[in-house]
Amino acid sequence: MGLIGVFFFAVLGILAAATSRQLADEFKAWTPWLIKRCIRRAVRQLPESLRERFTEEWQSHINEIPGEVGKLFEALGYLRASWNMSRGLTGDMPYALTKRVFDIAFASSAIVVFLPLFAFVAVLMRLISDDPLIVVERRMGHKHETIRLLRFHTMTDGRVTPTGLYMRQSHLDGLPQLINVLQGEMSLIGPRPLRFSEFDLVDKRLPSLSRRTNVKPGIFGWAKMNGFGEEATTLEKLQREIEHDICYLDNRSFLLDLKILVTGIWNILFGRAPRTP
Amino acid sequence: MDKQPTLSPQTLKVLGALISCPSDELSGAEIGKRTKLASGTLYPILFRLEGAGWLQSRWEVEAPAALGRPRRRFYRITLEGAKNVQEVVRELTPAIGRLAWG
Repeated sequence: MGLIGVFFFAVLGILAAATSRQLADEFKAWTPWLIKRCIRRAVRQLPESLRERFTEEWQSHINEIPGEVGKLFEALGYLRASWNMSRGLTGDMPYALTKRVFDIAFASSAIVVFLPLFAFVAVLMRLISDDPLIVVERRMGHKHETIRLLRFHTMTDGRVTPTGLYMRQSHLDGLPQLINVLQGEMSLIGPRPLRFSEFDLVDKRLPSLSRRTNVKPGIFGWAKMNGFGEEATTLEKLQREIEHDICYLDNRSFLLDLKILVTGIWNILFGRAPRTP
Repeated sequence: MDKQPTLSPQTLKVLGALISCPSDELSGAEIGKRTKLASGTLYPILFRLEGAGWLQSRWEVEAPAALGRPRRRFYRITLEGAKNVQEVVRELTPAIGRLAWG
């Protein structure tokens, strides 16, 4: 038994060392690319006439920072710099940036936490059937862009599968949407991503509709908290939902977002939630 | 010309670094090192001070191809900037000193 234990830990140690080595190499290979992206993104917030200057200036600044991690942090600093420069603000981070940072932090940690569950569901579904694991739904995203909403497969030929039923009831089927959040197509909090069929219902000239599509759709939302989480079947329902969305947009703040998120998670845990988008 | 910049402690640090050797031109990286300000704070300050005419900046002379790296941008305090800083310093000096000198 003792020998097996030693052997086990030795193998584990070797594996861990190999993985961390691999990760370090990956990180080294990816940082230049990440830095370039950060700078490009940062200068995009500046007026056209300044972009070339700050691209070069910041690249030369980065060159003088030692270490890959330091370089990466420096590059992230430029995002904040350009934001402040474009707004003439210094000091506190603007709402949209805070929100994006929070989205990334929350979604990535949630993915890590749920990874065993992801794996378990994947194995279970594979054992039961040959259906695809994740289905993609086309929904309307930010500024009328089509987003590919991810969710676990729960239906075959219009009928809910047994595992699907469980996942729908427990809201687990929406978990892959955390990936949508990481990709930046969605946010944790925002109006529900509309189906194109729903979008066809409403009058496209409605000014409230264009305000609604001016923000990223979200997993949790004010309208959903107030009972408008499901697909709208009638125009009247949809209009009332949009009214709620506008109410959210008028009162948007980080604190309100937190409240919506906590309530949303509470409702999922204690079973009063409408389904995920 | 933009409106007068507000003189936050960070802004004063940047001006301090540039004024300590007026002939000196410093790159953003160098100013960051001396003032220990993060770039997220530093560049907006440099940008505002330059906009207000307190600083001026220029590229490193050599071509990037010759340098083998992107050019640095050097910042220098202008005459007007130096005058304004002196003004600020005078305002901050206690009035007692001035009275004593008549």
